[in-house]
Amino acid sequence: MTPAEAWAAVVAGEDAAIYAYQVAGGRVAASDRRAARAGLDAHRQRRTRAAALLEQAGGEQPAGDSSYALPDSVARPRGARRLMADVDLALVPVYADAAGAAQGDDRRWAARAAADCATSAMAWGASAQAFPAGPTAYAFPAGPTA
Amino acid sequence: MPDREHLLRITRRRGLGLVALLAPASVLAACSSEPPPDVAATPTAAPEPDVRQRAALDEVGLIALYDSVLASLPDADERRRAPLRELREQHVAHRDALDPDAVAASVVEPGDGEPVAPGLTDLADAERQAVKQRIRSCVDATDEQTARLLALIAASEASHVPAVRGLL
Repeated sequence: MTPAEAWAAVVAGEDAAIYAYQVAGGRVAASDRRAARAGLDAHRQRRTRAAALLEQAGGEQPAGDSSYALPDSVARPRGARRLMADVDLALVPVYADAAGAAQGDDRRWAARAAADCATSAMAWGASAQAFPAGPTAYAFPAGPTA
Repeated sequence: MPDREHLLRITRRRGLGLVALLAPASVLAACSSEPPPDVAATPTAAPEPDVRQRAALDEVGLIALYDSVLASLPDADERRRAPLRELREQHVAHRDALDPDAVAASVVEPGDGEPVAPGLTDLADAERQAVKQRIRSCVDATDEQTARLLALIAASEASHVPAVRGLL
């Protein structure tokens, strides 16, 4: 995997996470709202840095998309927490890929981001895993599907 | 194992098409203590015995620490023992992915003084230190797969910190 490919996947994953947090953050219990906002800010900040690294690597920014289909369960606080745990967990292997593809401080940042996503997922109710990954396989196709 | 009804489906309605797919094989991989094939695989062209062996020996030490804590807990305390056994097994999976030949004989012996049974706070501290060490090793790695594996293990051990602290 090239650094450009790895950072493009991170940007796309963070885009999905930001969307999920925006929606789910409004559906969680009031006591969880502050943590959801902090998580959203963290995803936005990581997305910004990953986009800069993607540009440095000579890659093209993934096409943004403002609309995703979310599970119906997100309408309930428990489902909203679950969604945020899932998107955080799904980002862990994406950042691990980036750590593999990058070097030096960029690799350190990617590894730290993987750890932060795993920790955040725990806060939303995920269980610890030996090799953390989301319950779904995320694919970010390079072009529109039929 | 996550409930299937909870499995996330995020699909793009426009533009790039499908973003996330339900993939039973990946679900199984994610719920297993066994590393997915691309995690454990190390290119034969660039083995990194030092980085991997050092991290594997750290994992052996963590396994021993879990054993000590488990031995200090009453048999009836399954509320703590069950999750600790599960976390211990994840360290076994880490060790096996890094260097399955790493052995307990390499564990550093405790220093002078009366031996004190480690507790859950010690375990949480050890996990936090392990995260830092894995990230350092990740940066030092010279092959992509080793760096990727160490980043995944760092993430796993980062998740162990709140898991252990939740048992205090």
